[in-house]
Amino acid sequence: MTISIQCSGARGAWVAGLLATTIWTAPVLAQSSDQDEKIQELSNRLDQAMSLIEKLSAELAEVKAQKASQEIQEIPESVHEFQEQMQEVNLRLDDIEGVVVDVEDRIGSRAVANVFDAKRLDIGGFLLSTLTHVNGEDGSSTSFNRQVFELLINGELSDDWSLFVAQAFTREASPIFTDPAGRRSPDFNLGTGAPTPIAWANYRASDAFNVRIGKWVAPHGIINIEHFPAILLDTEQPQFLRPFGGQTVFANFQTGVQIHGKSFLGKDDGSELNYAFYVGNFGGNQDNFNVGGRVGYTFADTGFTFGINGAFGRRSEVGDSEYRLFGADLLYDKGKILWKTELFATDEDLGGDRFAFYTQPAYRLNDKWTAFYRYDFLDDGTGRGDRTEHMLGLAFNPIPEVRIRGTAAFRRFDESLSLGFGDADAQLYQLSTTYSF
Amino acid sequence: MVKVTKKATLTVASLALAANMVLPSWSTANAADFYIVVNEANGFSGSEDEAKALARRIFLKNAKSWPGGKKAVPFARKTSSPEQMALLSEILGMSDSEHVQHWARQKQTTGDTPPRAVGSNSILLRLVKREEGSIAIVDGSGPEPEGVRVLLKISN
Repeated sequence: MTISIQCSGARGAWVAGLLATTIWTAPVLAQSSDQDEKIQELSNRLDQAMSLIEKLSAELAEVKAQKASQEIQEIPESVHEFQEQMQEVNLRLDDIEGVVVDVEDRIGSRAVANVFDAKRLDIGGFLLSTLTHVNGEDGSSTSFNRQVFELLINGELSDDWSLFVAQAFTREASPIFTDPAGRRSPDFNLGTGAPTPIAWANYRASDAFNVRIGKWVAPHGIINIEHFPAILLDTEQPQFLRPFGGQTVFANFQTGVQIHGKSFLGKDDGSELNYAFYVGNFGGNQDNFNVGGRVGYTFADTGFTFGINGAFGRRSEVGDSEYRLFGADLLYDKGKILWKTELFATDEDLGGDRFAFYTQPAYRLNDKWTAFYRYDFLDDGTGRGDRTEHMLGLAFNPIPEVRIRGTAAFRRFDESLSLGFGDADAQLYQLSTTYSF
Repeated sequence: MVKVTKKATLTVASLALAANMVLPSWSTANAADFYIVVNEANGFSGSEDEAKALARRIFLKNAKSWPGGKKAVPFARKTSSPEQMALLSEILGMSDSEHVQHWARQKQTTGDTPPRAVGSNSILLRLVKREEGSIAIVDGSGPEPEGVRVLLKISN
């Protein structure tokens, strides 16, 4: 007799029942008439049961092995996910540790400076040193003539209110000529002081409308607005902006109110229209208001910016010294070329009209070196003769914060028939360094 | 008249195809090396070129607010990081030295300082999520970051 049983591990209970039934029925069978046959039958059944048990055991072992194999296959997926999570956590931890290291490096055990009330306070500045040699018709002179330390402080009071102060500490000896005509005998005129050329507060209603109150650089031309030696190719600036803080053509610095802003126009708003208009006083004339302004337009990404300037007011508190200023400026700044040109003319009620023009092409040789030339003409209206200056210069930035320059200026003083001054030539050579922070 | 229109259409289509082949760096496709991201609440809508021009102005602080008046808060990346290099070349269109000169001029004439440089992508994304007017460049090798809006995708 053959019993074929298809069984799985889940049928273990059924098999146990079958085995128990077989064992319990053995005595009953033994008491039957043909006991030997029955015993033999029981023995056969027992063999079958044992065989079945062995088979089931094998199946059970196989099932267990399959299950274990499945678990082993599932585990790597979990491990992979876990590893990814760990990697992400490690990256984020690296980020955070990087930030902590930065903060620790910057601050460490040092004291942290707090601002009384402002949201933010930025402090920077620059140090300027110059060595100048002047060769005139009647001699020459050399001096470490200029040492300027200037602090720049910008405070952000809120999203809309800010202030900016430039406080200078100077030891300056401007090159001068001591002969009566002021053109033959070079010397240096030492002066020290602590001027505050800039101190304004600004309210920004929008990019298009700002109000600035305080003392500011007159918003005329290009170089006067840039103003700071740290960013200029030449520390002396063109003739019409000399002396520092003067009003050879217009007052370089004024105190008052200025409205300014910019708007973006054209394709993709790529062009910029900006303006600045002011009412203010300047040193030497605190009783009269001067009114002026500039409108500039940058032509998309062509590199060209064109500006027109105008102003009127009085030169001094006494006398009929009204003046009217007209001017234009053109800047090309793209790629290796940086070219600045300015022209100003005045109509004066007292003294002669004034006229100034310069053009200054510069070529960026590479990231560190810039070479430039400047043609500079000035008629200051005094009748002392026109002055023309040709300047060659080379500026070197070993690092962005340091600028080293060498300039050679060849100045020509025209004769003055009215005052009886003959013409004269002078050469000025200067080395200068500016360190900004 | 019809012939001219067809010809014009074909010409425009050919030019567009050529432009796509020649100028592949700006793309709205999903693949990107970097994302320019802004706060999720930023509602600026404009073409890619407009977005790029506006981003440039904001990163250089030539514009200090978004259209609509919200104060712009740009974030930069660490000098020489791939993100900062991409920002300089693809958005600002400047070399490193031109960028330095720009900020030297801004600092000395207006007191404006460069945007704060953030080294970590994850911290930067948190800042962008928090600051409503913020804009930043982040790594684009992964999926689009969540919780911020991708303004531009840059493919080198």
